[in-house]
Amino acid sequence: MNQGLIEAQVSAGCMLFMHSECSALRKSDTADSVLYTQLAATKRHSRFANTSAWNEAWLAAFTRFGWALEAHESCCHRPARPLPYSVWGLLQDSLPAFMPVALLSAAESVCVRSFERHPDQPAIGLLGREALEPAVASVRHKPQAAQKVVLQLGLLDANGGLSVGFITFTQASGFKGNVLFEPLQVTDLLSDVQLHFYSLRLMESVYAPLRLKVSEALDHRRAQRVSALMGVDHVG
Amino acid sequence: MNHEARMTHAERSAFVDRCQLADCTHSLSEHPSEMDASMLMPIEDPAQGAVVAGNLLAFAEGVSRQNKEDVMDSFLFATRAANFKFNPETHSQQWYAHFNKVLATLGWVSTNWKYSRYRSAHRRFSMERAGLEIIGSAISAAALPGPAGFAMLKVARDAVEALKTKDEPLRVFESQAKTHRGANFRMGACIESGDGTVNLAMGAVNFSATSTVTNVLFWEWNSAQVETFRGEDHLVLNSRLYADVRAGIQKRLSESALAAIEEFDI
Repeated sequence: MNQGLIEAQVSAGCMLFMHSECSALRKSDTADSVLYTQLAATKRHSRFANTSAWNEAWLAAFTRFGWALEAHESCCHRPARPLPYSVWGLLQDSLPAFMPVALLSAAESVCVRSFERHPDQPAIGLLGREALEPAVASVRHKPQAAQKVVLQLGLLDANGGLSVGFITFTQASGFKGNVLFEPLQVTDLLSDVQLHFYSLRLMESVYAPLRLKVSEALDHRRAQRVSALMGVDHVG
Repeated sequence: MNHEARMTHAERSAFVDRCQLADCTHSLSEHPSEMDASMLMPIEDPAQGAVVAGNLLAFAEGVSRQNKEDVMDSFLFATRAANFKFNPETHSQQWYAHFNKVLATLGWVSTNWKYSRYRSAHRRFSMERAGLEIIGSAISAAALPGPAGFAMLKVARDAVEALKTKDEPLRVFESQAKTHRGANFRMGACIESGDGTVNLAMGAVNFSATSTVTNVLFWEWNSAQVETFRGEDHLVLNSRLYADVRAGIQKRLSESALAAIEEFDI
């Protein structure tokens, strides 16, 4: 699968990849749903302080807006292979059968190429701000070193099926740059790695009455929360 | 005569206005989508059947459009009202008591409600077959004229077969029927007699399993793995009584799907 078949964007704390052959309407519905549901969940719960409740609210919003949950799987573990490897490796280690392996590999390749060519692109800064716990001053007024990661990865296949991987863990030293590719050290992990995987499909009849309202609600938020990956097909 | 049958028009209307409706059922994800009229998903030809929340409704030929709408609206309203009051997984008897009370208030006359433990005659069985078996029992108990009973059973079977091949309605049905460890759903077969009377045979299934359910209807269960309860009823719609509350029901059900936006504002 070449890069031209994948469109990619950072949508708040989600790295979203969409197959170009999927219909324009489904891509735009997916992009809006992914952003809206994260914002709705964040309004209810802290993404970092109460991640479990945040994830439940996110899934509740997703299904309420017409995404039928076809399959899900969760696990919590220490990495099976010796680190270092990146969040891609953590996802691949636990990938359930319903997740699209080929699309995930293609997405990783797209990301690698994009960040090699544009290492300082705005999308990675946005993902860092949204998916990484903001550093806060400790009682001694030193920046907090440990950092929680709450990252989603969405894969929209050519047939309109959406797979979402949700990964969260805490590491002792904060990420210095690219959360997607920075190598992780096992000694750095302060928590198990929690993973949730979801397979979802949009019910058009349910989403249709909401489409315009969702889109309008996001009109003034996309500029701050969505950033297309550079060097990848732009998502309109 | 039960209390609902003695209610006045004003009391029925007030009940409909006051009745609190759940926006969601208790599903695998805890919060499946149930969005007013948009949850009425025709399986293929609206003449055959529809998935209405956790109800699979099948209509024999000859049921008028108005009666179909009344049946679907009644079941959607009663399901949402019962979901608001009780968790069908932990309080299934109370759930069905409230479901039946709402139907009775809307004008449905129940002639033969039974709720009991279901024991399959086979070691392995599917919930689809259990539902059809229960509907068959309800039809027999109703002692409807032969052709009517046969037609009801046939449309119920046809509706289940149609559901097998229709991904989207099946997903809606399953997402609405699922509970944490099982499912709660109803199958209804509906026929209209020559004088316009609407008869509905209902088979209800509530089960919990030792393993996670991903396929509510068509999975082959080992009977030792599941605890199953069955409900059956023969219902007759009093169209005159329903006509009094029709507008109120439609108003409540058609309250904007945009409630989802309000529920999850950003």
